[in-house]
Amino acid sequence: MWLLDDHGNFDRHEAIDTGREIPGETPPTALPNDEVITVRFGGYADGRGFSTGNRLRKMGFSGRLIAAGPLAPDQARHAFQSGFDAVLVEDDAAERQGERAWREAIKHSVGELYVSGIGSHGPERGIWRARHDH
Amino acid sequence: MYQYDGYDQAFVAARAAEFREQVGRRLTGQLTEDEFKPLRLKNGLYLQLHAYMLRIAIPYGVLSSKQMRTLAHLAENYDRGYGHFTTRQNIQFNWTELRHVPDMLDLLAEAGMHAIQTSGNCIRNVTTDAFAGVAGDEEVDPRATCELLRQWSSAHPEFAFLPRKFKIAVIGANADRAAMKFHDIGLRAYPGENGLPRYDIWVGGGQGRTPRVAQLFEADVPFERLLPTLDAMLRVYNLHGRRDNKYKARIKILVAEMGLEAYRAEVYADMEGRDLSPFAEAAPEYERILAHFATLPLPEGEDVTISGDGAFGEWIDQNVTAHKVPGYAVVSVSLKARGAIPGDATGEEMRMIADLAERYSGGEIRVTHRQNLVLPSVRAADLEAVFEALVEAGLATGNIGLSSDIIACPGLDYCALATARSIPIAQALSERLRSREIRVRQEGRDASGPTLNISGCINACGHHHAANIGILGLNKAESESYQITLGGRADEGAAVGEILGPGFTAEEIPDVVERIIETWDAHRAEGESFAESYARLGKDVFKAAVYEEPVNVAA
Amino acid sequence: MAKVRGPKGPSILTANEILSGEVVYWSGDAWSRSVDDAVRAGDDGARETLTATGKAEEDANRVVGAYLVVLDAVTSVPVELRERRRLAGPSFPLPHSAPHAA
Repeated sequence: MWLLDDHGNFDRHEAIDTGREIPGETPPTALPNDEVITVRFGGYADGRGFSTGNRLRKMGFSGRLIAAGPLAPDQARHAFQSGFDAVLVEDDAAERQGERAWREAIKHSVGELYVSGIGSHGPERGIWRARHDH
Repeated sequence: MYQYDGYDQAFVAARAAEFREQVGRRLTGQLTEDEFKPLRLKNGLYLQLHAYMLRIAIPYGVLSSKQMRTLAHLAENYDRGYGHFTTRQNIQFNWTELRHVPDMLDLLAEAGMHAIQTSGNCIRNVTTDAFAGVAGDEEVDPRATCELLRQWSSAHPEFAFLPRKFKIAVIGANADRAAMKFHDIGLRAYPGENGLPRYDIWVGGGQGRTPRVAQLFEADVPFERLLPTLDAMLRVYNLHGRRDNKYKARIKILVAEMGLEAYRAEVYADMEGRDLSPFAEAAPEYERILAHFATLPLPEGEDVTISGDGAFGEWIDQNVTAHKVPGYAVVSVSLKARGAIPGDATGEEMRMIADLAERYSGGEIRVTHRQNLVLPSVRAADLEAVFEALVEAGLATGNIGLSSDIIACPGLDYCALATARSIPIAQALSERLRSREIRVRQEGRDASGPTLNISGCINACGHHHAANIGILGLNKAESESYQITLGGRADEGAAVGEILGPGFTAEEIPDVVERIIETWDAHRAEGESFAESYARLGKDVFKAAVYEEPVNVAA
Repeated sequence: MAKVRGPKGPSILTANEILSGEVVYWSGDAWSRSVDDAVRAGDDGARETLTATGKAEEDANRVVGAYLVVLDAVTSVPVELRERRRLAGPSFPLPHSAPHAA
């Protein structure tokens, strides 16, 4: 298994602490006290996991948040900007999609957004903030 | 009009570069077609029936002459010399090649344009009144809100893989020229405190298989709560909208199944206790954007009344509208000449409109949801010169708002989802109805008539549900069949049309439509619109007229 | 993923070329822009072979959206309306016929 973190490090690990796993479609209703939570996305086109990440951060979850499931490198920034710390990538996906594509995912994505969200681990500062916060 | 600064410029350039890199990975197989499809769709690139189609956003329908020339350049160099203006203030190029699309996006970015989120299950191009900023009845210029929403929704991390597409429209006047209540979210802006608007938020409108007029979500929302509310509305939809059936995935179904009250409660619960600091700059940003739209570069002119005879008179009556500044007029340019394809324009025509706008309308052009163009600020004294130039270009058809001003989707001539053709139906109807309009006007009678929209499938891109006369093309046992709906309205009295009865062949449609119009003419009270007559008369009188005697189609 | 649409009958394999997007037909060893070059599968075995070819060509990233078009056994015209329209092209003349970009 591979892990991409929000600094762009992409490394293979024999074992990864994925903590408690929850499905992307069901945000918890109460603040979990786990240190690590892995949100499993149901499908590549299923964006519910991003909102689940956002909800967890809104609740005040300050532990480690990992996105897992059939994601593409192009979705890494969506995960980081929705409050995730890392994206878990299976070996076969890393091989087909390309280690380099994952390593450079953030570099090739649109990083600077207009609005920077709460809990975002993305590369953005926020264009509105840059324009108005002198 | 809004001008990109360095940040906007860098944003669209980065998005174009990202797409170029994605195309590269697609060609090596690092991205499968299943993975690439949502990515290309989010950049407006479809695979249609014959080729790739690129849909480019024209945010809130505003184009500069320079931008229009960029579109002409793309039409002439990357397509087959023309483009198609859609019902959602976009333009489509039907014959693009994947290998050229990154270059096209670079050229667009240089011109301050993009194809971001013109397709896919994300927040689409935000649309508005094509007369924004110049209409006499306007209370708030909706374009500043649209641009604010464009920025907020562009590349939004959370709302890029929604259950289905999401369409937002904004208006700022009582008259609805943007079919606001047929959108997933519709906003009506009103003047508020300190120059910031307040909004009525409508939710759950839409067309397609289950047409719905939007319901009021909340009235009189202060500016500060607009973005937090939209954010929560989208989040609840993202989490709870259906993903098991694409025909039940729009927010209108979620709201119908949950009930408006329960949906509202979920939204407010999501908002509760949220840190709103990401939206702290929304107000200064709105003010910054508004300043781009604030000044019309117009010295007040003399308020003159222009009238004329013949074709010029008809054009003045139909295509020229009052401007909020005395001495100026709003000129609509019809893309619905007799027999023309609704919304299509050649590169040459685009350049000609760009030149006219530069000379007579402050270098600005608008694109309407009825698939026409607008020169928003023409001096009354220049109207005759503009008309003559349009006559020379074949673009002077004086039929804005008449029945021959037909909306039509590309249909089965281009679209991979279509069940029947739309364009040939529109062309045949245009021939028939235009002849009628000219004849009626020559007789000194009122040539106005029902609005007429045509869709080539139930997805309703041709807005057939929202027309006084709607035509829906269906596939019946591998033959084209056309169903008629009556009584729909896209304006402030938004209504969904009712199905008249069994369908017709393509050849029968012109006679059927003419019978409907003649029946209306015979029963119409003085000054009554088709929609008003229909509301009073009901469908039976039309049904009898259409179905009692078979339609005789001349071979 | 190649899929069989609609009814069964003599079938040809079609797709869109990945880079140009042009409609192409499988000629037996390559893709052709002309339907006249298309090989015809007359029985279930041949149809399965064509379907497998379509999948393999998609996996090789040469084409997208590969599928079989069923023809009328007598007239050789596609059975489905959509396929008849796709084969015929737009039903009106276009302003210009070819793109200029290299």
